[in-house]
Amino acid sequence: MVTAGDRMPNAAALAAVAARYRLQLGAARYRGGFGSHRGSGVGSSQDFLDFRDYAPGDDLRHLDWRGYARTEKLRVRLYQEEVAPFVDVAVDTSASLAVTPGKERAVRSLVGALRHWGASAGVGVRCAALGGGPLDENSLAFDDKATAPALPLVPLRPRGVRVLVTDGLWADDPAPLLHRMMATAVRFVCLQVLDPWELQPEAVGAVAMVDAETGERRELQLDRGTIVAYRQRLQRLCDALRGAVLAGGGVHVQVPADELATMCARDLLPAGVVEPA
Amino acid sequence: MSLASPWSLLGLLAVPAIVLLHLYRRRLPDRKVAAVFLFFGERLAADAGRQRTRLLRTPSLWLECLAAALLSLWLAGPSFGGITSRHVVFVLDDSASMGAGETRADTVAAVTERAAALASTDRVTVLRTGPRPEVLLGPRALPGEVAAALAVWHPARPGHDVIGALDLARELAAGGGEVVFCSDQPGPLGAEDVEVVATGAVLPNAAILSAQRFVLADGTEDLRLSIGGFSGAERSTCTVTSQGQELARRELQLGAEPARVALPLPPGTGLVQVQLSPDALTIDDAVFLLPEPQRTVAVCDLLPDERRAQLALGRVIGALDGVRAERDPLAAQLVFATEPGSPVAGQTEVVLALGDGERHAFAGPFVIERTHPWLAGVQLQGVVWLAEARALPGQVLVAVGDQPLITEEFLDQGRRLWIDVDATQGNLVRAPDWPVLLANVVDVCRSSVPGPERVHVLVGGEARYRRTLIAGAEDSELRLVGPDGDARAGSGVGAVGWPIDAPGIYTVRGRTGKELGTFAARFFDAGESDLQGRVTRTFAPERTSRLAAAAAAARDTSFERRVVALLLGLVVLLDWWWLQHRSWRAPAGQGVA
Repeated sequence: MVTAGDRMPNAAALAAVAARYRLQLGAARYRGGFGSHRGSGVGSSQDFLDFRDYAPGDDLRHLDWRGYARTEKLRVRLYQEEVAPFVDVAVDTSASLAVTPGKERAVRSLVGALRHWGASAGVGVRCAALGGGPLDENSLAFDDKATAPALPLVPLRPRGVRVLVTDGLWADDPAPLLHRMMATAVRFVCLQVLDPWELQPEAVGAVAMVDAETGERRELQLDRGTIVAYRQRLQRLCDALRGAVLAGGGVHVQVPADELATMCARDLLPAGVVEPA
Repeated sequence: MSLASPWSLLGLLAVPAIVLLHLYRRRLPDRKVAAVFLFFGERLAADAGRQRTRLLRTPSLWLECLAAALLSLWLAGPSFGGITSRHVVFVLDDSASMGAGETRADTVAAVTERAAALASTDRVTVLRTGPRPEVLLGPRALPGEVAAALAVWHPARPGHDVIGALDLARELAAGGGEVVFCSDQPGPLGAEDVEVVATGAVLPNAAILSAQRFVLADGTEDLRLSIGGFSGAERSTCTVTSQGQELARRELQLGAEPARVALPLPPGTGLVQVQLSPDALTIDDAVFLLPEPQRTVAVCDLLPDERRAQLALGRVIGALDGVRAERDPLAAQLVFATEPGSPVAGQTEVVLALGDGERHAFAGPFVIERTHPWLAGVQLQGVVWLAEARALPGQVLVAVGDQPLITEEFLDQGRRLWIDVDATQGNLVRAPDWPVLLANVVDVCRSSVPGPERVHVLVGGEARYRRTLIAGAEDSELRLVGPDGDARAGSGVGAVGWPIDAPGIYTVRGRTGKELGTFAARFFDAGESDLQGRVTRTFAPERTSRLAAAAAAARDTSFERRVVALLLGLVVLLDWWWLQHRSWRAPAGQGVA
């Protein structure tokens, strides 16, 4: 009997695990609100950025008096902007992500951890469903029966971090979607969450496969030969997704559904998605 | 309500059938997956045959069994209790007029409708009127069996008294039962306490009232018909055919008096069929006429010539029709001898005993057993009978004083007639009583001639066939094959009889199937052919008990049937809904049947 606890992560445990990590943003220059990360524009940090000619109204404290002494030209010092980067989390809410309680719990844990990491870093995290509107913790439901993924209805903020949480099991080519998602992002991370059974099915004999999204029923003999053929197709699907992400400069991480601590230590940390706090 | 009704039992059979279907259905565990298209190409091949699997007590199984049980309940005629069962005795008028027009069909529909309105706890009995009432269904059968019983009911009897059947119905319905008399006219006197359902109608009808092949003096035959018109029938067409050829066709104008038709038949004409044009009642529209067979009596005369001459046997026997001489005593029906022999079955032996004792001449008065067929018309007035004074064996038929003159001796086989007469003197041989006596003996013997006793029989009568009584003969086993092809075995020692209940040609077949004789059965009853006074109406009983009325009012089970039907529909809908939604109801990743 599956209970709600099997699908929903424990909030306290999630917060405890997430506190041990933070989102790795790297040296890229982002846009965002006022923060502590180097932005892509001119700001008021201590890091020198450049000179430019003085214009009336400029702060006289930033005049380069030494340069004026040498060249008799008034120039002002410009400093690096410090921002809190935008983090947009696009969640695939198709029914396939809740195909097993473990997979659903893993997805919810990852989304919750991303929220936690954003909050702790002061960045603005916004979650939205693929092909849908904004999501909060209570409205996350995996009931989308659409077979083809689409951009969120909420506009993605430019020059921010974008994280796509999906299983990538789409029959259609994901490259167009990924290309549009990565177009204006500084950093793009694709977390492909798969259930362990999906990665390594067991040979259980005759079984009726029921598609979680379409309801299509297919009776087959799940033996070793079938599993080998299935894994080959799955590998081609994952390779296509990885190739599309890497081609756009993003990061692709295949995450077998597990406890959050395991996923962070085993998959996210080595891939550079998170770093120790 | 009774689950023992045939339809209810049939419905109950659905329960084990459903269990079997669930036992042998192919149940694969459902596995919900994210991308079933990745498994494309490995469809499961259907196994040859099904294997028994563990019975899963799913809601579908329980719902389907419940639906089958409700269906059986509905078929059984549910009741919510507090109602006593009824017993309805239907009495079907079996007279031929019930076959006129749509009367029979309307009667069947009326009885079927009434039986269908009964609950399965109720009981029905169906009787058929007749000289001896017959039980068509029951007693106390299930209402569902009425239709099958009525399917074999084809009224064809001549007019008869129905009171006997109504009396039997009253006895069967004793204890609160009801009697419904189904006829085509109001009930007769004495049926005031029964409900009469009349489904008749006044319809024009023509009928053959009589038909006869009349043999003329010159040996030729005339066909003589009498045809009547009833209930306004004004005309009809009479067609006479024989062996597929039309002999005559007459357009008849029918009036108050019967129309008469006489036409000569060609010599050697075989079976003749007279057919009227179709009208309301078909049973009286056709008549079959067979040539009357000559039943010739074989006579074996073993008397000495002098004795034969004295008795004038040659002159008397020769004057009779239907008599032939036979040398073999075993093949004769009548044997004249001077000494007793060993008669075979069906044979009559006349022993004209003449001893050497003292002769006495008797002039009367003679004591005659007039009820005996041999002595019909024998007067012996003015007769001087010369006989030997001696005792004769057997029952005395004619005696004078204490002297028996004619006796009948009872034998194991055959009959023996003793006649003590000395024809050399006296006037017995010259008196008219002598040829009358011999003619009577020949006529009695004629009834022993093998074959049909009468080829023309009436519906409601009996077809009788006389056997040879020779062991191993063809007629040792007899079957009567009717117009519809049904064969009925006959039984009896000397004559075999079969009741005739439908017009047409009947053939008698022997042990090896050889045809031995033919009967032509016809329907004659002007009372049944006249459809005047037939009505369609229901006559309530003039006397009815309060208990029966209350029971009749309380037996409407339509409400119970509607409730059960509603429950049945709900269960079916619930089962359908469960089957439609069981896939997503199943826990993900777990096998579900």
